[in-house]
Amino acid sequence: MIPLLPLAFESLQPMEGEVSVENRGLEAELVKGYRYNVADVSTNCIVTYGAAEDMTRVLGILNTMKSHDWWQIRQATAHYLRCFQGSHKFILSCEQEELCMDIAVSLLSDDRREVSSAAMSVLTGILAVLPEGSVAELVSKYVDIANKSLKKKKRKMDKAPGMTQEKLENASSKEKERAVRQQTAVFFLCAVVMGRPYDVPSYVPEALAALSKHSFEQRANLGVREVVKMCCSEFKRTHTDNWTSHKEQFTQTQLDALEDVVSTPHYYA
Amino acid sequence: METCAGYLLKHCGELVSAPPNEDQRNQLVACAEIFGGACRALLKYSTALEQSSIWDTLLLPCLDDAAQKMPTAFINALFDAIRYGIHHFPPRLFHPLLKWCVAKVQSTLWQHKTKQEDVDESSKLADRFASQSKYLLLVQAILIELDADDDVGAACLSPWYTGILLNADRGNSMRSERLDESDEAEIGQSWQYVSKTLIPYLLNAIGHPYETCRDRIASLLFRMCYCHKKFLKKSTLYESDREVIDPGGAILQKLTSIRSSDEYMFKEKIQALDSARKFISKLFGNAVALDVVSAITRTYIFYSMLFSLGRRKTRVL
Repeated sequence: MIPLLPLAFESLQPMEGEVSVENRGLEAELVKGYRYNVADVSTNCIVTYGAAEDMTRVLGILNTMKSHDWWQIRQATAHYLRCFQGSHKFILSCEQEELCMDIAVSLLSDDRREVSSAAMSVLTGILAVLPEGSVAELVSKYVDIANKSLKKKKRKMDKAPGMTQEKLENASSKEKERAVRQQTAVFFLCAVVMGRPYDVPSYVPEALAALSKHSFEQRANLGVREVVKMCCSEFKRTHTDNWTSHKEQFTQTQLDALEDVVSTPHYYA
Repeated sequence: METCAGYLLKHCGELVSAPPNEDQRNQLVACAEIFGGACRALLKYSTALEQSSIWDTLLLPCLDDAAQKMPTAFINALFDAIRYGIHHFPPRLFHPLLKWCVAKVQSTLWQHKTKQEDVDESSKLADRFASQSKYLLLVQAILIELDADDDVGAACLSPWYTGILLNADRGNSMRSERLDESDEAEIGQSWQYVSKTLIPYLLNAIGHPYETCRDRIASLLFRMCYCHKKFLKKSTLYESDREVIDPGGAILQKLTSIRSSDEYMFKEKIQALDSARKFISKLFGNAVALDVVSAITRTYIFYSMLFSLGRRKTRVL
């Protein structure tokens, strides 16, 4: 089965070249069949005890597929990892768990929303069974990254003819790196928040406070802002019933930060 | 007995030639059942000298006739009949059947061609897909019976209670040991024969134009990988030759190279990938159904998750 996994993933991509409409229809059916195959294998095939090498091989294949050019393959990789990690979470070694986390985190910064959403689902599953202390450490780390990756106001640059192009290119690449870091950190914190839909552990208020800073137009791109708003709205919706007791976990600053995101603007002061 | 079996098999031929009518299904199934019963009886009660001629004079002509005339919708009856007829017999007793089936597949199965004139001819062969799918199914019946279970050859052993009556415990146990070793050798030879003769034809037909044939080809390839691997795990005689006769490597290499291969036209490549997909489905389906250890693992994982969730709830409360 394992040597055939790369074939199954690669076959989610249509073949290149000009072909007739009929053949494209056949190919679409084939891709659909392979999608079902990959989903079936991910949900129902389990590696047994004493087969750590097999798990490493599977994770190695997923690590390769996560960088594929075709976004459907990257999305399938995320979904596969979600089911694979969920089925084997109690028998994965430390290195394998780290690899799962690395694959999921690297997919968070994907350009396609479908891929990053799938990666957030993977992370939710991974974080749900980690000890609270470990999750709190990760939250602190990514809050720090998120705070440092906020968009800064544009400054007027001195236009020196010889240097401008180079500076512009440097600035552009730095901006891209910043955007990637911001998306990764924000989506990670969103996964943390959405992983606990019915209670409020100690790290959730800190995560929400950090997320709220990324909901403003000047501070983040549209995709990041939308996900932050969705996450905060979802948090408010799932915690409405016991909000009076959950509220006590927040400081006033954190509550204000959350309200800034979820509340609608008032016409009157 | 041969006269009696001959009479029954002749009647079998008349049943399979029945014209379409409301009773055709019953007649066709009866034909298959007669064949299965006659085959089993002839193999069980004939002597070693008679066994070589039984296939050539009685069983194979009847089977050939039945396989050609039986509609595709009822071929499963013949599949079951063959399995019943040879079930638990040592492989040497049905080796002629295996050779006949393999020869039929080799002579009828559509093959991938590279030259244009051969491509035109191969399209004519593809029109006879119904008979191709039948022979592929019949071969599968034999391969299932070559599956190396512990009771291969059990049909030739005396029942367990006769040992006390015959006062031949030591003789029986010695005979069963010899039979086990010889059965293992026979199974190994049968698999070697299948690997050398059948696998190249199947791998060259993975781009078959018709879905039923692709499905059966995938089933056969899976069957070879799975049963052969199982046999090698249990085998002691072929321990040193595992790499030589294991067909799994050749099959996997062919399947994984389809996408990057230049030898297929676009449509044929799609069809070959479809065969590979069916192979993966069968591989996966078998892994789910037969992996007992993974079932135990899942049970352990389930209870571990329950335990950890219970602990978490207690902490929250």
